[in-house]
Amino acid sequence: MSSNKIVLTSSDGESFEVEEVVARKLQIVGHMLEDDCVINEIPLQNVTGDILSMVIEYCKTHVDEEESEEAQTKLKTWDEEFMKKFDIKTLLQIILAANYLNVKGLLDLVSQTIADTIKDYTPEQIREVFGVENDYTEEEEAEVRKENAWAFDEADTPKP
Amino acid sequence: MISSLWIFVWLFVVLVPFLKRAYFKNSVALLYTTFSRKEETLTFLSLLPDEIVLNCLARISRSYYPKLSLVCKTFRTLLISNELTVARLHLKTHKTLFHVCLQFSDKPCSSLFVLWIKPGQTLTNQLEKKERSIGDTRLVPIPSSYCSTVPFYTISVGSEVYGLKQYNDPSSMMWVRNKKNLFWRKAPNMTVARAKAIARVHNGKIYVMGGCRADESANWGEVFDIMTQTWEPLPDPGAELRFSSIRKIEVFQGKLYVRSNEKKDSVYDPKEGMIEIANYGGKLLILWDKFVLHGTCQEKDIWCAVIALERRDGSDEVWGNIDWANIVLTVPNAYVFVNSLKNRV
Repeated sequence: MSSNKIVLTSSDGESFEVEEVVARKLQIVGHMLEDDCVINEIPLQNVTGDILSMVIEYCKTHVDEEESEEAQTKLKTWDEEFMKKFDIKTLLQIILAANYLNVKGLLDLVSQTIADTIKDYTPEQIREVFGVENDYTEEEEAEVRKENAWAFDEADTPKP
Repeated sequence: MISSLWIFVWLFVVLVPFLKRAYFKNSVALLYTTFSRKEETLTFLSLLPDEIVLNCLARISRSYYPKLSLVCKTFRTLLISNELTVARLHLKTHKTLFHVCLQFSDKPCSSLFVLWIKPGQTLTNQLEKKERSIGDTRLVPIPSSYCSTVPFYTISVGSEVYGLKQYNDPSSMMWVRNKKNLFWRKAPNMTVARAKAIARVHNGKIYVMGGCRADESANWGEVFDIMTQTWEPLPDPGAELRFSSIRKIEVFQGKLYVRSNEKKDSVYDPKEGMIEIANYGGKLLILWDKFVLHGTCQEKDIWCAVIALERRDGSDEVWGNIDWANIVLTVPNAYVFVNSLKNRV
């Protein structure tokens, strides 16, 4: 079966030749193709080559999403392994790319991975790993801690 | 050289009064942060738009929100925002929360609480244990970082649900949504502003009572005709009921009965203790109180148990298995249980 090829170019000038079905998984590309079907080279301004290659890898794997339970389980395992490859900083770049390129499945996958990571971290770990600045003053932080004391404090029952 | 020094002095003299203005201070602060962040590489909040951060937070169980609200101000703001509740609805990560409304003698309004279970815990049945185990399961006040939204008192009518927000401040607003749709829209306003009113549907009409001033005799109770979408006042039930603390409207043989917390009320006597039973995600939730004496301090422990029901093969027997049972709140002896509510948020 002959398939139409599309060239996707990243912000740093790297080009990827992919099948049209794969490119269409990027909804931003899908919309462009609908508007004008003669395009075969698409520049993507907001994503670098290394990140784009990962998005394409995801799209290639998810190109035909079969309904069967077996295929779904296989994809799920692949997703888990795929996510394990990246550190937090790369994940943040992928999520941003998935948002810009409008790849819903990948956006969901990375959001869930980040959510699962955050929930088990202490506030200090979250700040460190995600580079979040603690903008509470000492008094404010004490106040928030007091408000939520019931969630941390083992010894005391909440008094109304 | 000298002239440039003068320009500097002039700038200083002219600018200082401006600096005192708040908006100017803010823009200076903004400029400062922009410059100081120049060196930083990728960070979660500076990089991602709020909607993506919300999308991540909305996937995490609300039980973790008290901890997460400690991270930074942005987290806290997002966690208590309405947008987060909407994101949870879209992602279908919203869960049923169990609320109770309690009245304390030292407070003019009743207080709302919500059942919180400490994440990552294996809960056990503490009923037979000698020691009071506290902390893993709690009734926590609303609003908090766990649950920021005031729950609805809901009235189910056919394919629709009507809701009255359980605010402390009276409001005449009523809300409605289709059972298939999770988003509320406004229904016609009540004629009187009410706080924590109670309601009951009967013969295609919604009866709403209380929550307004007790001397509001003309409209203390009113009825909403669902067909015509209009409100009509109900006859004055008399001062005795108006000044009592009402908790439920019951329908019996075509008539409405109002349960109140008055001692002579045959249905409910606070002295005997409270028992509340609810459907909690397909399981049976039982809430009751137990008198405890701490030195000279008379208090009550409110206990909560969640029971899984199971029909044994080939028989009509239904077995209950206690998932967990624990103390969720300790209250003054003189408190009154008002009602319980369930909301999916």
